[in-house]
Amino acid sequence: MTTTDTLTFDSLAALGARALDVAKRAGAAWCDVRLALIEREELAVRNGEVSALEQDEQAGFGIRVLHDGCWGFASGYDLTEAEVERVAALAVALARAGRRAGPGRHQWADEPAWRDRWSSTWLIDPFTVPLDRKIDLLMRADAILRAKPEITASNGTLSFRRETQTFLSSAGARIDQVVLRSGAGISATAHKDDETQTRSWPAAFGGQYLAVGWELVDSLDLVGHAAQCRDEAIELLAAEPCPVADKDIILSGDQLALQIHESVGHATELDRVQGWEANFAGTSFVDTGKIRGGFRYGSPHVNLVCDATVPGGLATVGYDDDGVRSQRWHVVRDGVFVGYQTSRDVAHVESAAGGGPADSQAPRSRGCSRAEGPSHVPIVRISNLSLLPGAWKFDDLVADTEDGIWMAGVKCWSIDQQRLNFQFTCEYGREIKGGKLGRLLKNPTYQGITPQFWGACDAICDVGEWRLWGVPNCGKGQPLQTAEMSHGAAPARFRKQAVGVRG
Amino acid sequence: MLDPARARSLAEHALSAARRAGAQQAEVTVEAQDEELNRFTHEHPVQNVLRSTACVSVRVRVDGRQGKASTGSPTPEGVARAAERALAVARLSPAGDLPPLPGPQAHALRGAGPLRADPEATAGAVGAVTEACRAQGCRAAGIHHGVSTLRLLMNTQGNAVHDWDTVAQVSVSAFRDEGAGWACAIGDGHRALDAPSVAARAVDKALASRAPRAVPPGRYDVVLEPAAVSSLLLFTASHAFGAQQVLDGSSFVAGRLGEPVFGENVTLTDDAHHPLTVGPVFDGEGLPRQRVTLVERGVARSVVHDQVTAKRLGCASTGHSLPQPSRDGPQPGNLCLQPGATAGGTAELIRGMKRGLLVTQFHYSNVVEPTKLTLTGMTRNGTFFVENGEIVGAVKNMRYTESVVEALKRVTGIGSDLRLASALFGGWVVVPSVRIEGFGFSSGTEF
Repeated sequence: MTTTDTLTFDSLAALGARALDVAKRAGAAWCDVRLALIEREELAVRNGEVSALEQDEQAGFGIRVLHDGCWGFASGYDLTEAEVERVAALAVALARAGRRAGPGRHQWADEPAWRDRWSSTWLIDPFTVPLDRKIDLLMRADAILRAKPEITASNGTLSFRRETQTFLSSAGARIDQVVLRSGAGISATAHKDDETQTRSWPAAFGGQYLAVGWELVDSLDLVGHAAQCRDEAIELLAAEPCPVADKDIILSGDQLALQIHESVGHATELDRVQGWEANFAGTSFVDTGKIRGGFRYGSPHVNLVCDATVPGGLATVGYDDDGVRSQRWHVVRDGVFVGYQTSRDVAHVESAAGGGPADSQAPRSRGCSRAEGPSHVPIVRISNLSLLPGAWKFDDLVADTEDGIWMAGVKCWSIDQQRLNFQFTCEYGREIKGGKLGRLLKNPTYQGITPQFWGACDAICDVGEWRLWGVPNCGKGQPLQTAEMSHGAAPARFRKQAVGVRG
Repeated sequence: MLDPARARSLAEHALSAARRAGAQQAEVTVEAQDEELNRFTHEHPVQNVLRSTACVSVRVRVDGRQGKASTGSPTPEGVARAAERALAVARLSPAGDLPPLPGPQAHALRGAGPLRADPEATAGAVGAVTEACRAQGCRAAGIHHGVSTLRLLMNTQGNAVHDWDTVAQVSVSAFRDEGAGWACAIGDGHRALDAPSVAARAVDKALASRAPRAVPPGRYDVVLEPAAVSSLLLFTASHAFGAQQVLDGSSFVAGRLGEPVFGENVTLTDDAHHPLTVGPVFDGEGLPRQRVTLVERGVARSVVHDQVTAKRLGCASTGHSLPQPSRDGPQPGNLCLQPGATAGGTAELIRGMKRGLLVTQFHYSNVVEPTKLTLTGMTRNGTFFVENGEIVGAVKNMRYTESVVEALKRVTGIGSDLRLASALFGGWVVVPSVRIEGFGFSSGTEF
């Protein structure tokens, strides 16, 4: 079997069984196999020309073996029995060689050997929408974006991805999953003299991404929002710079999504806390002493919840790549840190520190182990981590703010390797004076230290303002893997933050 | 792994399939990669990995329209299917003013060989590294990594080229108390990497950076080690010296070619054939990557082109195309900062600094303002205070927020210690240590 159009769950499972046999015969304590087909379609229009138009299909498999306390992982792309068996033997050899590098580790949290089939839900399969309709949509939005001479770059993108995967384990699990997501967005870049400004819709860096079908694209109305996107970029050219001061800030939901991602999501990945990521993305200030210590991560208004079951979430799956069923749990409850994001090989650390799923006596993974695809080894990834809504209406929140700045749209982000000192710049700022939105501000920037920042949160807008925002480009691991997840947020206020570009 | 003969056979098969399906022109790229990785901490290996991947992309032209499809199944059936899908895409695409696919090209090839994975030897080297760290009371994390890439490009106009590119790396972070250190060695896979000496350098830095004190934000003279310089120059490459950014006006070089933009001691080239560099020697359109002088003694001289920007500006491609079609335009992929008059490296530059900071690495840098190339990021893995030419102690990490355009006007010393260096978001540059006057630090952190 070598062509992707003949792949079925059963044919993948039959191949995977060959790997399990090899590992079992070699005396492996554990083996799991993921076999998958990933289909992608990327379209982009830039300045009236098609700048990306590609369909991609990648099929492959990855085999993970635990032997004598050491892991080995090997991957391949030739979906034949002989090749699967050869690569399984390689994984075994790697695990055996591991002993020379140091002592092994045996912890691997229990999980039922699930046998199940799961799928994302969608209304319109985006891969069935005709290509010329997609290009026409981007061209129409692009024509509006470019309709004024100040615009030097217009961009529109559509992106679709479907992963069809079978997971098998030596414990008897078999999980078939289909995960589909769609993405769409536009942006306009205006330039005059030495000033360049960009505005995006509905979010920066490719737009909005959700685990739904073409209906996402219809709901975003790219053409209908192009003129405002363009005009705001042009207006920003003449805007005042963000002042250097301490001010109250109200952040938009899409900016808060990134704030959650960087200052809570990565900080509470337990593999980072363990130092496994220390040579690359970094470690975390959220040491295991904080799980039972009542560590105050934020104000009592702050509730942050991971939910791998939320409809539309990019990290919403039936089961993770360790074969763990999806869960929902608090990371921060009423401002207090209460839970990490874990995989089966770090779950014992949370348990030993006094945390972990409340309904489980033995250590249990939270189900955050995911790989970019079958050729990558699973690592702990951020789940759909969201800030729960509060009770404020946006207009009331502005009216309640005496001296502040409204900041929207992601432009620049940076955070230290323990996830404490961050600095973010947004696309679009508006001064707030005496409870009213005032003059436009360019490059609105704020800088803070994570627990102090979340501690200054005193108001969150209600569920009517709450949206799930997709992050399609989260990088972690060596070699780098890209993962996708969502963060829900409504606009929220943070008192007395350092704003403006200092230094 | 695919060998060149098999890759060529697949490419020929794909070109035939494209022609049969009605393509007037077609281009096939094959990229096959084998990767060996041992990722470790002081306690145990975390990952022990052998990855093998292959991707075949087919780009076709018909009646001025273009389409592209790719597959991870490098089989005759797989590539034929990709060719047919590419045609289907092209037929639904708008006609454009597309530059021609290039004919035969003369290439100077890197000619490395494939990586020979040896998990036992790798694990042994990792064991030596972790033991060296433990012996000094240090926690550790790192990678022993090698990746071989076979790239082949063939088109219907007679261009056919392939090359190997192999990169091996040992990267070690060491920690003790509040101290952190990092070191790395990179080679083309043929030279032996001295893993124990990398571990020793990381440990030395970790021990030296214990008990850091906080210093207030502000402007400091700095000596940047090559890894720190790489953060500044990788963003300079991607945001300033590609022709598309100049056409958009977002590059500070736009309208300033021929003018002084940096200090007279700064000369920047893009050179895929520099003996220290890695990466492909032909570009995404199959053209040879030319050596381009971007800045000569502070004066902006040129930017890099692909055929699309070259056609628009009436010049020739410099061989810097990304795979086409490209959203980001041409990019310098092998930026080199010419070594300076200071013989030696960091130590010699420090000797000439009255009061300032030594920075090992920047972490998570990003662009605040593209036109001024204002970046922000954190120091990491060893930041030190220097007085009267000597290191007098470690300091806590700080956030820099600084315009690269302005900073490179204030370079007071460039070492001769050229290194291949990289930063968090990837890419490679060849750079020495650099001393800069009055570098801006905007805030501090807790460690």
